[in-house]
Amino acid sequence: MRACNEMTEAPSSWTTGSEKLARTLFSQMATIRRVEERLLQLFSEGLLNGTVHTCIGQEACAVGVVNALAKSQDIIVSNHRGHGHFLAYCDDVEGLIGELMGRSTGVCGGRGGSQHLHKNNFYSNGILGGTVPVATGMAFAEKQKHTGSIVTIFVGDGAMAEGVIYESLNIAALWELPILFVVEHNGYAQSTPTHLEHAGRLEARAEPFAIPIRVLEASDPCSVYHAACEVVGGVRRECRPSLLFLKTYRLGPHSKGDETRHPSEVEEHRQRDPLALLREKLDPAWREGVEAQITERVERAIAAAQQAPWAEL
Amino acid sequence: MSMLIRLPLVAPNEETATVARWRKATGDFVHSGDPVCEIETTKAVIEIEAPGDGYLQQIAPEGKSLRVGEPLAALTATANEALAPLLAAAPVTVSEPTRRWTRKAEIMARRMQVDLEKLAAKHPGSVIGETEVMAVGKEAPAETDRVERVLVLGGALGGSAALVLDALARIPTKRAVGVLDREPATHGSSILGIPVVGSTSQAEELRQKDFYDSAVIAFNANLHERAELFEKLAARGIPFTNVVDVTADVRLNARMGMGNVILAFCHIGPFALLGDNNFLSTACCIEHHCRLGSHCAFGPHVAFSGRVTVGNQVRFGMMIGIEPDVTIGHEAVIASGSILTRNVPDRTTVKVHPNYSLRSRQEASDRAPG
Amino acid sequence: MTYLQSLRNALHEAFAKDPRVHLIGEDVLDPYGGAFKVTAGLQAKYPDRVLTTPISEAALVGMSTGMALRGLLPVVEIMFGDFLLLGADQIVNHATKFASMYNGKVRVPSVIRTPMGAGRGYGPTHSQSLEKMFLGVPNLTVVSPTHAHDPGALLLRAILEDPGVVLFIEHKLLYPLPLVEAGESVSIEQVDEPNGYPTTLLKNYHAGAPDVTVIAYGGMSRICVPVMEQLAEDEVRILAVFPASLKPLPVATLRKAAEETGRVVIVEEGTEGFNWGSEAAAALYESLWRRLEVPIKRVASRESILPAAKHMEEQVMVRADTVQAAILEVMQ
Repeated sequence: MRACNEMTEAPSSWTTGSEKLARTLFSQMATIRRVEERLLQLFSEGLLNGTVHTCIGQEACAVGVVNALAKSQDIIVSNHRGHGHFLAYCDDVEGLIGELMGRSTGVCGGRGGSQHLHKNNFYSNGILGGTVPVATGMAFAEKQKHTGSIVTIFVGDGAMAEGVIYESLNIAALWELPILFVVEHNGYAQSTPTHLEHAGRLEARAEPFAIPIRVLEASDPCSVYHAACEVVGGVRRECRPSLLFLKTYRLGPHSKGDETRHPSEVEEHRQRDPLALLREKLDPAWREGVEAQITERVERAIAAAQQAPWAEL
Repeated sequence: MSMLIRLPLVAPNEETATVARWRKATGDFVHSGDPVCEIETTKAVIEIEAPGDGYLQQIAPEGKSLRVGEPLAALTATANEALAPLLAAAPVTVSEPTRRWTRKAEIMARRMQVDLEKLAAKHPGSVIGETEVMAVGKEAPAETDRVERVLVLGGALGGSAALVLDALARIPTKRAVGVLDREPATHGSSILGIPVVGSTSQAEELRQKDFYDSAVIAFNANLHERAELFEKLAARGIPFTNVVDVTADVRLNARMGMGNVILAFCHIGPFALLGDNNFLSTACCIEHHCRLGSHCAFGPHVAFSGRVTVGNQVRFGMMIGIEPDVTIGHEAVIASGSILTRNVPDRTTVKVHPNYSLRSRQEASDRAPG
Repeated sequence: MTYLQSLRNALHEAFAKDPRVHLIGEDVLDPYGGAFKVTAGLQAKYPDRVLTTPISEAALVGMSTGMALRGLLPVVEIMFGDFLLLGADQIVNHATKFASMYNGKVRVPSVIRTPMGAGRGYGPTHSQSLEKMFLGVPNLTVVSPTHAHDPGALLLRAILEDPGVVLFIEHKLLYPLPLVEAGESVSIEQVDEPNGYPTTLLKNYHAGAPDVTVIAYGGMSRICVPVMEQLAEDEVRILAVFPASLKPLPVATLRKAAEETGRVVIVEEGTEGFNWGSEAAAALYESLWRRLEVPIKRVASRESILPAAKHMEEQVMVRADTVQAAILEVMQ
């Protein structure tokens, strides 16, 4: 089956409101959503080990940013909540599900699991903040090699309390490295709301390092995409860091079974689910067809994973 | 007032420096504060100033590396002043006392029980090495090609042979090859796997047949017979061996004759002296400087304090204590439980009267009323 | 040739040989050339590949991992080994895990080099030997040359050939020492090890069988070699084994040397207990049970801070007299 998100290497040529853009982003978001929901179900059925940190509700961040990158050469470093970034980057639904089910077909042969994924130029790790200096070093390497590639590092608002991030912001700015810091601010660090986690203004954290900051509500993936294109363009052209601060909301639990927020709060945000909002704007016949394809694909991927041999050490 | 100019410590952890350049020559008169030379460390070049007025005499040449505190130059009250007195006053390193032997020699001497003092005295003025020690020392139980074959005499019925065979079983350099016992009923049987091959009268015959290398007497019910057999066979040239259990502890400079049986956990203290053909049961203690004769027998847990002297053919029961400096004469018998504080003459029996009574419970119930 | 010169030459050689080699560290700008001057001259020669950094050990180690993942051959200089712990998460949870958890699809060929060790009175947080804390990290190679090795050759191997993360431990007090050369008092032999970091064997005798096997690494050579020379006069024949690779442990070489004497002393500068010597001793007991004459004697610094005052620092540290006493003790 042809992946829904295949596109040419000239993303910046699309204009605002383009139906093609909206459809592409919707397909990716719907794929991510479907995979994440099914993973939570599979977990309840005892078919996954460990836990999963789903990005339900935050898909617009992943698809908006990742599609603004040059996927053939740019680098993405992600975190524990990285399935959305991973699928937006490489659409490897089969490899992701196989990985979480511990099969040899898993993208890392079952060794990494949900929080430690790698494919091509995508890397993720489960230590919050710890990935940031690694990403900074990668940006330095790309600059030294004159590849023109940039590095995008995704962190959550919770991770912004880790000191090593500030060490990295400092060096990235000082050495003028081609790195984009994307903060997905969903208002919670696990169970701790922002007002108990951070002093001052979180979106201003990169100001002292003279790093340009762009703040945006991530309710519409297309506007995230356009903002990301501008920011990415700046990083690549001027070879200097930038920070994209996306305000979003996590509709699923922190990890499976780990939900501490009041249901009414979550419900209120569910009414403004970016995926649902985008869905409304699209042609019903088209979107149902796509959704059906996605559903079928995900089910086939699950079945395939269950048939696949167990990964071996 | 003449003085030495020593290399100062100019920076932490800079223990040495090189004399880079002399700014003043020998014979120059310098004033306090004048730079006299430049020294170089790993980090920088430093000027050394004269600490007072006087005539400079260079000591260390350019290029020489010095340790902190060593003399760079001298500042003398008069030109051409002799430096020797100044340098003589400089701290002298303590010379090590001359040693008479190497550490290795000391270690080997201890292992091989060689008297180093005596050996060193034989070679005055030279350092004793391990070669000299090895030349004199007894070989520690070295691996021999042949394990010593031991014949056990008597004790097949009473259990003494078993005791000796058990001790022999753990000694890697010895091996029991047979038991001789005067009781014919025991012949052909085996004790702990070792065959009873005949009568004690066959000892010489078996020796001629090269059946064994050495013998040891196990029986000790009759010490007179034990002594007699030992003397007789020894006179005929039969070698006797000591059977010392591997768990027994024989300390420095303790010595013994031949044919002794020393069972598990015995302690023979330093400078103790044992004769021949004694039988010590488990956990006996012969403390330092004791002198034990020959043909004595000990039950378990007999303890001598220091400097006890014992004659020949003395029998000890069990759980006995002998206080220091006591002398026990020949053929004495010391009953179990005795604690001796006074000398015991020859052929004397020492008995302890235990402070308990025996009464049958059956009698008591017969006498009970109704 | 001193230990330091050997390292410095190796860095220059590595940079000349391969354009992928980079070095990041604090205060490495020439003419300062690094706190211990190991990199002197490097930054001036390769200004775009030798970068002086802010004081950010965690970021430095993390960056070296990113650089290695993306095709460079990075060397990170951590100024004092005591500061290595600031980068511990990056070593344990990132650098040494990527190759394995990504199923062999990536490599992290990085070198983290740092000086450890006491004896200069720098006090409790600038004098430690903390390599023992990293010995249990899977996929990490820990190397520490003595001054009886060719430290430069080992560093060159770590930088240019080792495909994984190498923690390269230098000792401050070894920097100014001339490398040990075979001669009258000591003979040297190099034994190749499978991971390419050879073990050095030294003997203080030319004939006869050795009496004691001394096993040590890193800065302890500055103490062990003079002790060996001195004890040679006392006819105590010592076979010294100095592995350069602390982990993986070259057990076969250690065992062979230990077997020759049955009397083993293990010397290290780190604090006693739960250390390199514990592992080496356990490995030897497994294969040499019943062939040892005496239990293995381990010498290490006291479990204590390293006080600043020199006379107190000395009491806590391993000294020539404690090493000598240990050697004589196993001889009894």
